[in-house]
Amino acid sequence: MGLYKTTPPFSGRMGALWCLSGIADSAVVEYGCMGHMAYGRTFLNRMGVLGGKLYSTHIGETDIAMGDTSRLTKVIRQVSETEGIKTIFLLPSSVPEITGIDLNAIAQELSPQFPDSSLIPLSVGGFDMCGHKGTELTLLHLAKVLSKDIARTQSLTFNIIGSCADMYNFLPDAAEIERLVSNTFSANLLCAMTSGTHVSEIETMGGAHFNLVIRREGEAAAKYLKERYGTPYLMARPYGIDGTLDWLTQLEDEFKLQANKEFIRQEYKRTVEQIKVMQTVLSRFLRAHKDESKLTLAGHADVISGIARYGKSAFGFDKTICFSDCTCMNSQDTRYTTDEIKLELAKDGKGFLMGSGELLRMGKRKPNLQIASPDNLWHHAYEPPLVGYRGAVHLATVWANEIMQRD
Amino acid sequence: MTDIKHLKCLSAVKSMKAVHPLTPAAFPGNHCPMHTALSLGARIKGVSTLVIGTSECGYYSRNIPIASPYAEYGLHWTYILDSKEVVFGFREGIIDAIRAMNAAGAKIILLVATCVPELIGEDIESICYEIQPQIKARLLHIPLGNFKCGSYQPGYWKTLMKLGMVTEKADIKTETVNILGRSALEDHIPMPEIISVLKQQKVPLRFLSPDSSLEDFVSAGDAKISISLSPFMNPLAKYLTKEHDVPFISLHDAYSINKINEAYTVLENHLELKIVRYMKDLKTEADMLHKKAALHLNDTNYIMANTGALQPLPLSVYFSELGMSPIMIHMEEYYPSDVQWSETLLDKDKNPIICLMLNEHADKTIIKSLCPDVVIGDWGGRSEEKPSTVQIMDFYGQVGYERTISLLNRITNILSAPKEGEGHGII
Repeated sequence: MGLYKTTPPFSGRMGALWCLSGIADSAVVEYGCMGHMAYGRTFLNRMGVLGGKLYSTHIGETDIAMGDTSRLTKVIRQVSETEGIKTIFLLPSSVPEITGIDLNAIAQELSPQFPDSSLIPLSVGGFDMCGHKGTELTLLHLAKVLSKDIARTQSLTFNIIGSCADMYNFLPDAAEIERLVSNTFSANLLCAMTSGTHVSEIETMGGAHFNLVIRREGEAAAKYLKERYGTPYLMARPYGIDGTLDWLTQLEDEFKLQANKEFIRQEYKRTVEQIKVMQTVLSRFLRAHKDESKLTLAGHADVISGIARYGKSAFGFDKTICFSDCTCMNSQDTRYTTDEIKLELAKDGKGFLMGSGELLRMGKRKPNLQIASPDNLWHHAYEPPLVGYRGAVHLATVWANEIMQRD
Repeated sequence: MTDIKHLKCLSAVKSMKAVHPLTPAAFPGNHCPMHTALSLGARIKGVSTLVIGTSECGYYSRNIPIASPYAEYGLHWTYILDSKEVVFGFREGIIDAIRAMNAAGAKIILLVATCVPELIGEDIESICYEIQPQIKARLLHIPLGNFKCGSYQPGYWKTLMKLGMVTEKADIKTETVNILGRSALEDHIPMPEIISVLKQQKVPLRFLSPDSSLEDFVSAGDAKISISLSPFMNPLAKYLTKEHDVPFISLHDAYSINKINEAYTVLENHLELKIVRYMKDLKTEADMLHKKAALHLNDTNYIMANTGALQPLPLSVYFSELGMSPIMIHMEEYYPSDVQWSETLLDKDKNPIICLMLNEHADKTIIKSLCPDVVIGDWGGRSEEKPSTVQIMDFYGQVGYERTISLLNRITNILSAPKEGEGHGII
């Protein structure tokens, strides 16, 4: 790790917490100092997460010195017996990671005391694991321990895997994906793992006909579900008009579904109409101002690639430059956004820059260009999406408005 | 779950170690002291910070410098430990980080050490000692392991005390008065009357608080006297007395008419100004209200919940002068001065339960089951009719007779309201 001048990357523990936080009817009990969770909870509230209850045990010097874990037992008792929450995730904070508290053993030992509660420890700690890995492992763990053996639903159903709080705009994006799939294929969403979902929905996710993996960290869980329930999956995020159409066509072909062509036609037509004038204005601007015809994107690798394709194909950006927010997602075309790169991007006043709230603030850009975390603003589920047809209109509007800054 | 056998009474509490949570699950609980240390550091012009800890510490805390209007006057960086450093130490890494900040122009660096560096025991203090002669930036190490305290408050007072170390020796004392714990720019709460009186008499004031500059701390040693308006500031005030011969009066913990009058008299004599006479009307009003309230509030029992920046024990001592009895007190920090306040309360036969309230919902059940006449401060049942609530969070930064008058008015209004379903509630 080392020295950071800007926000450092998030940890595996944070990835796990953010992933679990979206599950209603559950509780996350973090064993460790309470400031850890007070901070986490504030961040998640700002991201618009409404889900599980997030508790901390707090620990003192004596607990650490004596290896006393009785605080954890007391908190579990309160959560289980007084609050009546029966699915309790146990998460270590950084201090118990060092002292080596074995949460698996503790959960096993405590289980007989709480026979009607599920105590689910998560081991995604350490000091080297990145947040995306933490997300991946947590999604997989949830699929393993919570999903139940269940018959395929009679009507067509699907799951969304990977809608988690670390992805900027995760709630509106999941809603747009649900809207498109429900209307195109008359399919019902069983579980959006893990935004706005319930324990019971994760339990029944094995009954789905297909799984939509909307980020690479969800693939391990999807593979597991395919193995266990034979559920096919598709890993993709739909961006732009043609990108969304391709995605729907791919779903139709891969899962042998019957598509509502009229819905697709109407959506396509409406979207094209809505962006038409903006497309004309923007592409003319980009042709006339070659030095501005650059779209720089910094964020999750699966997000930036999709937006870059849309920008290039539909509006004619000469150049699209992508930077990922994790070293594990580097590729030939995508470099990790180091401090130096962030400072460089912020300084470069030319072209269109989309990234985290922090990066936009550094570059004195407008906050509606945000496509990644972190930021310091409050968000909600009714913001415009970035994916799908509605996302295509939103992106076009954001770029068209950006011209006003350039004139 | 209403068992409170695990809690100790005031007589058995000598430090935060003996203060236990009222209910076990913190929801959401308190911020850690790093949060407040950083929020203070980032709001003082010219101060740079280096948070040393885990990704959680670095990631979540970045909102603080972002929100500060003075962030650009300093560098606010983080040093995140990896697994090797957790085992083998981070000496080399932190030295490189300090050098990098020094090269980037930091004037003073607050090295805010969080839980993990504190737990693994890296000797940051000696690193500072070793590297200080080689660099221009002044290094101040603030050890702030969250497991060593019950709340965010050490983040304030430890940081302020460290900032006192930049204060330079002054050969000549000026007429300046240090105002500790209040910003000159804050207009959302009334300015204490004493500040207005001093301003009227053209006394130069130096406000040491968020919105100050590093230079204010550097020159604080030339002051004639300091006035402390916050418990967070008393350790700095004491430090200035000890090291720079700047005496102080503490006004934040003076509630009784006598205590306030004593403090103003000390100030008057020290500054050779007329202060007491300007306060005459307020004193008379406070005196009258106190006598009336004492008749009315005698035998009233209360629970003291979240009082924000107000130190709970001195407030309880004042309430005992009104004949009120504390059943339970929520304490987020045990200050050195609390030893004396505790003794005073015990001498008056008041030995309340001491606890840490970290879960409004769960704590509410217990608070209600203890049947207090009134709850002082913020708690989960503040919108309920019974027990009534007296809000005092907004008394932050306020002192003197005017605060006592407001306090007495609030309590008497609440407790003299018609009984049984006829208008209990908060004001």
